[in-house]
Amino acid sequence: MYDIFYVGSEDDNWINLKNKYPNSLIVDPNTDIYQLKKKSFTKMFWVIWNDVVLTDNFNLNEYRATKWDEHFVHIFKNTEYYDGICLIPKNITISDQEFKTRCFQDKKEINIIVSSPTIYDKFCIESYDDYLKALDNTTTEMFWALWPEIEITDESVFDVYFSHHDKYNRSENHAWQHKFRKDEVTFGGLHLMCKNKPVSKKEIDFRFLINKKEHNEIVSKHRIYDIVFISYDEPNADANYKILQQRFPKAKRIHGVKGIHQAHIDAAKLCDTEMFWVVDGDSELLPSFDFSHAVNRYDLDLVHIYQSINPINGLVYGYGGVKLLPTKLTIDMNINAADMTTSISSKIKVMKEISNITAYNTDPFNTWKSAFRECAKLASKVIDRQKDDETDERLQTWLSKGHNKKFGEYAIRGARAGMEFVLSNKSDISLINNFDWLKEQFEIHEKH
Amino acid sequence: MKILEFDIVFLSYDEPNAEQNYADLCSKVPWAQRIHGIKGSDAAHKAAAELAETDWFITVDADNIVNPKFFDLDLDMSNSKIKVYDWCGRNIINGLCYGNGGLKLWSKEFVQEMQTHENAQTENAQVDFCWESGYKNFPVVYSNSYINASAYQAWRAGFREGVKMTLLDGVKVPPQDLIKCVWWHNIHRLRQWSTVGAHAQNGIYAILGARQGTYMTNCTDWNHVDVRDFELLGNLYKEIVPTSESELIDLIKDLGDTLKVELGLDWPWLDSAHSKYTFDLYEETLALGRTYYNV
Repeated sequence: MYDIFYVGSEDDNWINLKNKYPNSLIVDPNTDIYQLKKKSFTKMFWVIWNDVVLTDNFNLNEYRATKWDEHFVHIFKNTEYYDGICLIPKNITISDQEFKTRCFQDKKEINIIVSSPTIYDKFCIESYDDYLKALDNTTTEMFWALWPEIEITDESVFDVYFSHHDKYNRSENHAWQHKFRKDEVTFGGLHLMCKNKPVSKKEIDFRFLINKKEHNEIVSKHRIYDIVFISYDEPNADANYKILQQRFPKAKRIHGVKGIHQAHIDAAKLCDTEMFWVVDGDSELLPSFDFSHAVNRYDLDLVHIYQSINPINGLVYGYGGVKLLPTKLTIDMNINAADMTTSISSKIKVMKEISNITAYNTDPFNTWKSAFRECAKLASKVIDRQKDDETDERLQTWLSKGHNKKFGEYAIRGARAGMEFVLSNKSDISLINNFDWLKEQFEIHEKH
Repeated sequence: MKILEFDIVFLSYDEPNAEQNYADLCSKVPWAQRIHGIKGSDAAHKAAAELAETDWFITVDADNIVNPKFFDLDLDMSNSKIKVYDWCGRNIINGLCYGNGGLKLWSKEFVQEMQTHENAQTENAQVDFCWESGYKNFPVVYSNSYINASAYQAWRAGFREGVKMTLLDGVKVPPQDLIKCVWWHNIHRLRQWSTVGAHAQNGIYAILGARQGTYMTNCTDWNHVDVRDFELLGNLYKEIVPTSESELIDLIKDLGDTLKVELGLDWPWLDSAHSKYTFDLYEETLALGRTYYNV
């Protein structure tokens, strides 16, 4: 039976070892070979490093070195590499360099797996503070940085281990390929961070390390942002939500919240992704639209608006289109602005892709109301960065096309009423977000 | 302080290679911000300061491609008197390595308060920044300056240096005293600008620009302060730069003769082969110097 020294702190590995071998002693990780030799009372002694886990089927107390091997360091297999547990003769000369690097001159490699490497710690890191905490708290010399926006597609990557002899890789930060978008692969996904090579705040914020070793295996993909279906009283809302849920079962729903701004704020509060998708209650999603778009870190303050098809007048633009919104900015939005999307952020990106048909022509009131609201906005040119010519052209189309379509007359009359409302009473545009008032207006207009 | 901690602002005006160079910068540091199309160096730098959220910020000129090793730098910033740090840029036409086109780290407060170029209150700040003692240059190259994406870009770069390199602290000197009065480093740079480049794309425009800048500043009544105005330079280019290559070379040679008589500057015409040879020898000499002096 040889002395057993555990090189490390009082962690779980130590507790397990102590339970199995009550005679084992713990020594500080900075202890050198000379101090260790002094502490040992047996002609050889075991050194158990804190970055290995002992296998159950090997008994340290039963192992005896043969007489002719007693002058060699015995180094045992650590799953794959000979860099794990050592049995060291007390009376041979070993430099501290050999001891620390586990690269011994006079050694015997024992082809018995007696340990496996400790799996690197994993930390979910969203901000630089999280990263600093991980640096402080990690018990392994490298640790996995898991950004909340990524989803691991190949769990076997966590088996990665760099041998103790591989100083280069152990001193480097590593990045694996990440499926960012459909046809775009980046290195902004899974990272294995070296505790001794800290990175800057900007690198963490942008998920982009300036210096890193790149690995070409794709092991992660961008997580789909939360999807929220927002409905109020649209007759087709339940059916549309059901269809959405069939394709995206995790899609959430906000229903019946008064005020379009408040509904979106409530929707944002349901989400735990930094951006979130909004699907309106009257949206019939196109089968080609799959919510797979991911946003670059520097675009996280952008409102993305997708194109939608108007079933009455055939217009294709952002009206009623699916939106991708910054979650925090939505929660903090100015609720007094008439146009909700432009009040979330000053940065708007109109996407080329068509996401849906805005099936607002479900009954007379909903058709009239939708046309009223949109044409009031168009006529008042309240939408930030709108172009006069384009806006006028759209307004003319709303006012003139679609008589023969389902509830088309209501759409045209609603459009005209919305435009006239703005021309006569520009100062109170915010009323278009008050659905009770809109109901009253509908009744007044349509009675005549 | 780690360089990476500072905001990075890319400054472009009308450079034809700006988009390409900005994309290159963003591939190295995706958080690089950009100021575009602001007239006047002083105003553009103030806009950059406004954009930056850190107390210090790095500027990258639009004609620059940055060496990623720059972002590994850890800077000793303990001297509170220093307000601007700058690194050398390497000119890809003539091989010169100095502050022109180099990367700079600015104190935001300093930039907000400075009055230079179009906002200058003193004569010596009218055509360049006026750093005085609060300036530290590192004789290390961390970027390449691609000033030759178009003939006009190359000419303008040469012309501006042709003007600036003949000034003493931003002020004109008597023509007969030019070689005596102007710092020899600047005469050396002027020599390189005025002779080397025929081997590179649009390089002869840079040579012509340098010679015309020197000539107009020191041998005519032209107001050298106009060098800071890119619109005026655009008009000047249309007026004084010939369109055919043979005329261009003749003009370069003629200006060489004039500058020799008027200012004592002896700039030979180096054709493409001679230019390439001189360029290579220059780079080799710099590299050799670094092995001797460990710079």
